[in-house]
Amino acid sequence: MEDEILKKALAPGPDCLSLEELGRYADGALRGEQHSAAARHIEGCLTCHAELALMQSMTSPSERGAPKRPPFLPIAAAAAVLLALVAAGSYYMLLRKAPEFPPSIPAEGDFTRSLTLGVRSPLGDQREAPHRLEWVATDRAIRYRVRLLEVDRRELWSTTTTAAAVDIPSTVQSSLTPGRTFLWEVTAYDAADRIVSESGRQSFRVLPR
Amino acid sequence: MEVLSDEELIARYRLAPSSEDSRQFIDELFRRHRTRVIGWCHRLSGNRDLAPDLAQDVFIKAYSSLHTFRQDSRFTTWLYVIARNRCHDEARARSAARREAPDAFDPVTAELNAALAALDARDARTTVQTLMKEVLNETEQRVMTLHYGLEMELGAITTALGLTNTSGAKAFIVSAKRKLNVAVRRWKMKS
Repeated sequence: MEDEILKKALAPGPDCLSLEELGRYADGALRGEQHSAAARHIEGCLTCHAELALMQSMTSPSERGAPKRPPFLPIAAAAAVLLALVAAGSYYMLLRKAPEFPPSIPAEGDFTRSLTLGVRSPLGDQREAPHRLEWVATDRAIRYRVRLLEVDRRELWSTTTTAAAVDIPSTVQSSLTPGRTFLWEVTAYDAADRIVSESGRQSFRVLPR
Repeated sequence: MEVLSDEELIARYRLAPSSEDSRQFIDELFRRHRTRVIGWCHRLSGNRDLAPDLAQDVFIKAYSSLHTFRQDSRFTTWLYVIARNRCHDEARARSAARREAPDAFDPVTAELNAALAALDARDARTTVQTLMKEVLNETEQRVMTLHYGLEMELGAITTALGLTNTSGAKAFIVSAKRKLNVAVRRWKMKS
């Protein structure tokens, strides 16, 4: 009974996002109300939150062990043989050939703290008060702490999210008045609640009208 | 030599998918992600030996479904979704074949069973999730959700989250259930 209740309480519900939708959310492909609705749901739903965090920990651009982009070389003779197999409908067999195994998953302690978390926007001069803060997803981060500050370091607003972007509430956005500079920073945390990377203080200025 | 993004490789492949030349693009695309996908399958299944076979299934599925890739997300994310689904199916098949030692938690389970039974008639989802957020730390929440909600095996959760404590995810399940048990009793008394 107990396990059944837990399963019922934590299994994806009718309002939960599909994996594909979570993927579009994580990649910043959802906009406007779609994005806001997804963010609201994820914030309140342990199931979507866990699935998204898992996805982000695996697919962030800095994912450990991710293959580097190699130059696109002409096909060698051996590859030509394999391609012939593919053409003959033997793609299955091709993939069966000696898979290259990745190095074993490193122990938690093997990860060194990254000093820099890349930010996307807003940076520098802005024509209008920004409505969103965006940064680059970090390997192993399961949540991000975001802070928006006045230039005197007084906190205007802060939040925690699992995504690599967050909408600024309209009430806060209205306080980003023209002619002023603001600071923001993002800190990424892993599953053990340790800091894995930090953006440092970033700044933007809303241009005077 | 020209370095093409994943999406550019797919676009070129789509220009003439049946031609021999276009195979180069798809081969390059899959070769580029091969190690990554095997790593995902290892972490999502918790089974190093099984990972290459699962990865192979992922690429077969990706190849046959490539026309459904809409380019509104990264190819990496699209591929991950396939890998996640494949590993999920595998976990379900394996758990159907053998049940995962619930007896290990018996002392806590008996008490928790009785307490949680009271939630059955209510909105179990909302109540349990609220209690979990109140009393569990983030790792416990994550482990419980991945295990009970998303049907991941404990070994896979240990690998996926990089847990390095001796008993891995199992320890978090035990501590989470203890805390939840207390919270449920408190909740019962209040209501």
